[in-house]
Amino acid sequence: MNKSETQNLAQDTTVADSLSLRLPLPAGIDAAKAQAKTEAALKWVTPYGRLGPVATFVLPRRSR
Amino acid sequence: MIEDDIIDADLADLADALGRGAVSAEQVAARYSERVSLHGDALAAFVSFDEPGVMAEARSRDVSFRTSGPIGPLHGVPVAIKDVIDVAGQPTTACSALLKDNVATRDAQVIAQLRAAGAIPFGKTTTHEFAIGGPSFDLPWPPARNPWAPTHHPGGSSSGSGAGLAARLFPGALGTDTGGSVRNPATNCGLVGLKPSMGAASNDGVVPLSPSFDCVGPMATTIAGCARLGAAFLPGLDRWRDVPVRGRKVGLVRRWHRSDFDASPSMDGAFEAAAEALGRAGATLIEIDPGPLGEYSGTAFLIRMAEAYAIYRRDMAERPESFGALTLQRIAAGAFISAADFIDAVRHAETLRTRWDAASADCDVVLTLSSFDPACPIDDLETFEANYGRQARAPFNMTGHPAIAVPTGFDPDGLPLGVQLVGPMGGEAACLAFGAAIESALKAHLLRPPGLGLGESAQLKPITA
Repeated sequence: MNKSETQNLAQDTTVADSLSLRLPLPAGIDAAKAQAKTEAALKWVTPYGRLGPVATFVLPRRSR
Repeated sequence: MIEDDIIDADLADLADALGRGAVSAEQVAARYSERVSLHGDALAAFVSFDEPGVMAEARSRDVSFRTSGPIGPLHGVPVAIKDVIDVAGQPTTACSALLKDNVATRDAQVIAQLRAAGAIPFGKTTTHEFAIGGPSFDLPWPPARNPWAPTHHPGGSSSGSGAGLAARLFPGALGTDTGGSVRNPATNCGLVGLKPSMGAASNDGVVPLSPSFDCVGPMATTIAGCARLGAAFLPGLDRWRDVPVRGRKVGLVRRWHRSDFDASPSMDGAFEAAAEALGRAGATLIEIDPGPLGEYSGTAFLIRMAEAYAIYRRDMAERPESFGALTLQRIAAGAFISAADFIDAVRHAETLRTRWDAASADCDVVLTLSSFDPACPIDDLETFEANYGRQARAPFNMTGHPAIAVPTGFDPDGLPLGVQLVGPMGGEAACLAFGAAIESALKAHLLRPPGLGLGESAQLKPITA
């Protein structure tokens, strides 16, 4: 995987995809709302912003 | 004991009457079954109610009584069971289509403990789906209604336990509490509900939601009733009368409902009325600041949702149509929590536990609000969602401390109000003792919901602000 492919993957990957969800969220769920609730809670417990760790989390799995 | 007395008595007095043979288990079961047939459907309190089975067990208790006296301190007392707790031979559905044909093959440990004390499991009560997704109208069973205002939510997730208890369809009930699900219906319905210390009650045979937080808890109309019921599976609870209130210290947490959130004036008034009652009982009141409520609630939310998603993700993906929409939406939040986030949350929970213990170190118990608003209309999902996080119960599922909801009176619309007392780990008896001081002063337990054949209520002045 070259650098541009890596960048494209990172840009195309949604947050939900990135969190190693092997099963898709079913239709009818407002994913943005669910994510927003989680993001609001995460500010209390993690020093990281959401988008930083996502890329590093995704790429090794996608390159296997 | 005459028939009206059976319904009017609280659980402890009824148990005493049964224990000395003043009334038979069959008489009690028949009287409550009659009330179930009259009001159970309108309040949607039950998922299932096996009247022949209940009556057979009651007659069996009477036979046993005649030969060898009472089995235990709950001899012949009917106790309704939230439909996430296994009762042998009865359905356990968790109000979900996924489990609609599930029948328990054995008793949960808490049920075995209740039976050993002589109690009779009295039907399976309505719950939010899997103790999280309600109030929902898209499940196989309708949501329970609040006896004080049937257009309103009785609180959840132990909704049927709260609704049926307030309507005196049974004298005691079990609920489960993962983020406040015993204490919320207790507050909304004017009842006493105890979440024990984490790990004090067995979760064997209980449908899980968040195993780090799930607790079985007793619900009753009075402190004494709650204590008697809970003592069957929480050792030491029956020693609550030995705990003094006079001369002891009560922490007051006002920042959560005045600074972090803005509680309704009537709930704020309920807090002040309870604080004043404790002061009059001889307790010393100390304002404490445990830090922001959102930090506790947010951290608890992450752990609860990650664990719930871990349990239900496969069914969510493979059979989503079998869930109610609210259940799916709520549990979906857990899909966005990584393993690292979860570990951060678990570590932060330990920090918050330490912070709470430091803030409350000088106190025997701490007074907070339970809900920040009275019950809302059951079909007003927008208000329900807005109020969902306006509560101070979830922190103590995370810290593990025991916490009890105590009724304080009613708002001008006739909706119940209440507060929460939080004890140190293992301090259930202190929660009950200080709760009894509030109960004795404010007498909210004397009121009865209208229109259910319960007679005239004592008239108490509504709490406004």
